[in-house]
Amino acid sequence: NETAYEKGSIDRRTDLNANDLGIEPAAARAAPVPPALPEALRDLGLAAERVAWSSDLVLAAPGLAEDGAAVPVSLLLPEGARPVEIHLFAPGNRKAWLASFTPSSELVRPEWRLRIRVGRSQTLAAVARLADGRLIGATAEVQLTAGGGCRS
Amino acid sequence: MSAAADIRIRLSGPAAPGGVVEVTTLALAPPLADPAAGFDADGLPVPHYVGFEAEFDGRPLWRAVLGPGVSREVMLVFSFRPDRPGALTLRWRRRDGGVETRQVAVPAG
Repeated sequence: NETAYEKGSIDRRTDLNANDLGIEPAAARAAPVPPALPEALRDLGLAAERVAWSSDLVLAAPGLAEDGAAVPVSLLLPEGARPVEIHLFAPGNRKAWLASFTPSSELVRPEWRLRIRVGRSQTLAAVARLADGRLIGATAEVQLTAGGGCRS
Repeated sequence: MSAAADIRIRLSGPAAPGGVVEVTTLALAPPLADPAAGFDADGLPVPHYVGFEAEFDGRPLWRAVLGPGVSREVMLVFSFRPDRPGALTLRWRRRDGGVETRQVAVPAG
């Protein structure tokens, strides 16, 4: 099991070059999205082609993480942004979808932090659906130093 | 009856006019007697908590659906602008259908 993961992580690391998924909106729009992401979005009724990779949504993760079972990540939208829902994905995990947040009050600031499981080094993704119907996305790279092991 | 779940909640401060209150929560899952019980037949983690809701004085603030890819000990940090002092109600939904509810007062600033 462990070996399979390690092998997978090495293969994917070369497939998913972080530079190809830069957060420059223009560059990122043309960038390939992690293969498991379109399917995970479709499961939620969202079309990957409609996602505009935008610096308006910020997904932050430590570039290097030692403990794949608890990797701190944060999600941030500009103050005043009206997200209807925000979804978080680890497309390199066996189950790509991690969590979905639904704000329901203007009192809430569009900023969250949580800890997630990361099965192996990969590019995380977040997609927010805004009140005007737009979908915006962001990515963040995480490298596991201890070679995974949280079995996600 | 099982003991109350170990849930920690910290507020950054009181409800100052126009100010932001940051809420840090950590819901600890009970330790597993057998670590293998934390994973299903496919080897995916089995989450203890699968949902979260926050309300301020009965008004829903936000909610979350949590999958197996969220850490077993669920840490959530969010912030809001309380328009008055009030009661913050936080609810964690367990996979077994149970709910853990905690209430903290957001005092006047």
